[in-house]
Amino acid sequence: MTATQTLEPTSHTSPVRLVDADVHPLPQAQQEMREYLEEPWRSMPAQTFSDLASVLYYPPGGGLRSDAVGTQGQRPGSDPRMTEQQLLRGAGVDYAILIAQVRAYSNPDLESALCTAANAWLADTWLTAYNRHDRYRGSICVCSGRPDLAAQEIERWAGHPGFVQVRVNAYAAAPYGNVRYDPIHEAASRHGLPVAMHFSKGDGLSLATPVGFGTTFFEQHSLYALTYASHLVSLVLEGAFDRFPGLRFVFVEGGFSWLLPLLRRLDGQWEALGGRPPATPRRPSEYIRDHVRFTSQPIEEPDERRDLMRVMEAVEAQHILMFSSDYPHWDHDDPRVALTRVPRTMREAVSWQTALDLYGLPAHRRDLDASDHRD
Amino acid sequence: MIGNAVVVDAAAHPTVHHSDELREFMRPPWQALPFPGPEEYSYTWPGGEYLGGNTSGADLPGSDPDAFLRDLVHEAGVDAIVLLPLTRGLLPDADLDAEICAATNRWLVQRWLDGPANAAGHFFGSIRVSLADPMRAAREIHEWAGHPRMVQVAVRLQALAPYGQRQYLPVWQAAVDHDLPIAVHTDGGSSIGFAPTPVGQVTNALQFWSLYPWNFAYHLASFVAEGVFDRLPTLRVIFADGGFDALAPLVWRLDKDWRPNRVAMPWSKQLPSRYLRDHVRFCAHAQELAADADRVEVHPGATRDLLLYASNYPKWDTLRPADLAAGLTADEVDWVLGGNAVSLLDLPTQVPGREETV
Repeated sequence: MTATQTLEPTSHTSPVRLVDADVHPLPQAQQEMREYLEEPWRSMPAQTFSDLASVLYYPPGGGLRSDAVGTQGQRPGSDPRMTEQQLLRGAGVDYAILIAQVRAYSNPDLESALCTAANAWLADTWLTAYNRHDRYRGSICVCSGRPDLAAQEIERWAGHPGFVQVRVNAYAAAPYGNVRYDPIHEAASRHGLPVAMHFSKGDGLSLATPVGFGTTFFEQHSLYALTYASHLVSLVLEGAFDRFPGLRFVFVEGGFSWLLPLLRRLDGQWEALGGRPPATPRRPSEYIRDHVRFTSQPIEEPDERRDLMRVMEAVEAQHILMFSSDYPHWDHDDPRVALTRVPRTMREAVSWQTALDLYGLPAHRRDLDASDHRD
Repeated sequence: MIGNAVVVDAAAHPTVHHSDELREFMRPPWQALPFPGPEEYSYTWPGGEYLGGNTSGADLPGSDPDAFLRDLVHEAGVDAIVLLPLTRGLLPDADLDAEICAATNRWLVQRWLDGPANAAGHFFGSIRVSLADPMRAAREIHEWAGHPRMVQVAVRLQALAPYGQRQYLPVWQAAVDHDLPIAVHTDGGSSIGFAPTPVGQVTNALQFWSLYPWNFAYHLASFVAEGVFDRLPTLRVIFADGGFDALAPLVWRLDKDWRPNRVAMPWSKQLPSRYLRDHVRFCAHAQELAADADRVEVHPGATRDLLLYASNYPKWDTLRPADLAAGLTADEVDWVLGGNAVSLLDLPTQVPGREETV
């Protein structure tokens, strides 16, 4: 493991003003992950570790910011010095919630093994060796195709102070309210860990929409909302939040404006049932504030700014929306631009308060050096 | 009429009296083959599928033309009804599927459009086609397009590939040749195909119906990405299950992602949102009625431009035009209740049974 020099943080701190709820640290080469694998996976062919992500439905311009290449030419997102410079100093991020990129595979046993390796890698690198400033927190990657192994993985890392949530793939064989996932929900909620969904493409049937396989990345990426709407409907209507009152889910990178019409539909159905089965014990929209959070990137850009603000007001975004950049991906959001789209009265909540509360973060963070101090 | 507005019901669902009645209109050998009944059984609505509850033994709801006239025309104020019969689902046998659609068309014409039930002229119809054999579907369209009461083509929302892909072009071309819109509607029966969500199976009708209509967006994105609207400038598509409530949030994201990824689809010439007025319409659904204050439109006037009243009769959530009108502005009412449909479907200007002309 290459030891990387980072500036020693001072003992001074600054109050938190910006939490980034979606940052992707990458290994300098996928081979790094191999070091953490057990057999038989460790001896898999090299191409198992060659792809950062599935290249099916790949962004035609490439997936990573070209200006985020490391100080010594490393792959974007893999150089902690560059991340500090661009994210912590440049963008003013006080705490970053790291979500490691684990390529999905049709084989759930292989994917589980890769998740285990990714967690051990993250713990060693970004949560320890690169984390002297203690401003990174991580996500426990689990494969939802093996809920039993996923629960074990949660137990393994739940006590580690660097991990603040569980990460599951947004692509899944069943929506996340399905009872097959109860072992994951039970372990996560018992440890007070939110479960964050993030899109990690694999191959095969996981890429199917209800009307077949689209042609372009555009079709696929632009409609993440429908995947998340499916998970939300399932979590609420299949009773996952009733079975696990402490369960919280984070919807990463899928927008949130669709929540408004969806809640109207769900509440309307619930009223039409008048309490008859299979109506949930509570009105569907009442589950959102206690159980659901959204990250802001890629922030919606309607022609009329006012339209997005009205949606934010209608869904009470001050309680459920958290700023994210998706650094270092191609469509990342600069907080100085994205947050201007949030009503002023909600900016503090979206910038840091909601994430602080969700992840139990300190109200202050360590300064990198004197120039990094903010009163 | 509702007030001064002509009312066109853009989607009501007639059916045969009993499942096998369809065989009277089918040719051998398919006439004798097994095929699914008209209803989809995985996700039955808890209160009953239809107005008045579930069926039991007697004729299927929607099989009596007089009931349509009583409930829609005389009681709800509808002037013209576009009949959209459902078929039996996406079937693996392309010929059987095509024959079921052909039989449905023959039945609709004989028993509803040309029969004594339509003496007052309230009924119009949809040409059903199966997309499993696009060339056959094109021929079916050519066969019925000349019938004065057939005003659109109807296909399923369920599909094995999104509708912008090249294998469907002969079907859309045939519709465009006859200036017929394409109505897209969830089918009954029992289908081969993919799960109802992109992440697998749902476990009850609430989960199914809260979301399935929003799958229109995959077809819309596909039409845009493949340049179908550019290739066929007069093509019009009606998403008859609704989903208009999700249009603004989904199209905001479609527009946002189209710009940087356009290099992969150079034949797509415009932002997705710019195709809506000329190419896309939505039937209104009862689950989408919004309080005015919450309404966010994809562009100013989108409701007036894109929305069509439809009853979805005789389903449990049948929408009455007065209930839809209650949520519309004065500027929107006439267009949504009937003006848009009259224009889109080229309906006769003389409204049946009324003295006023549109």
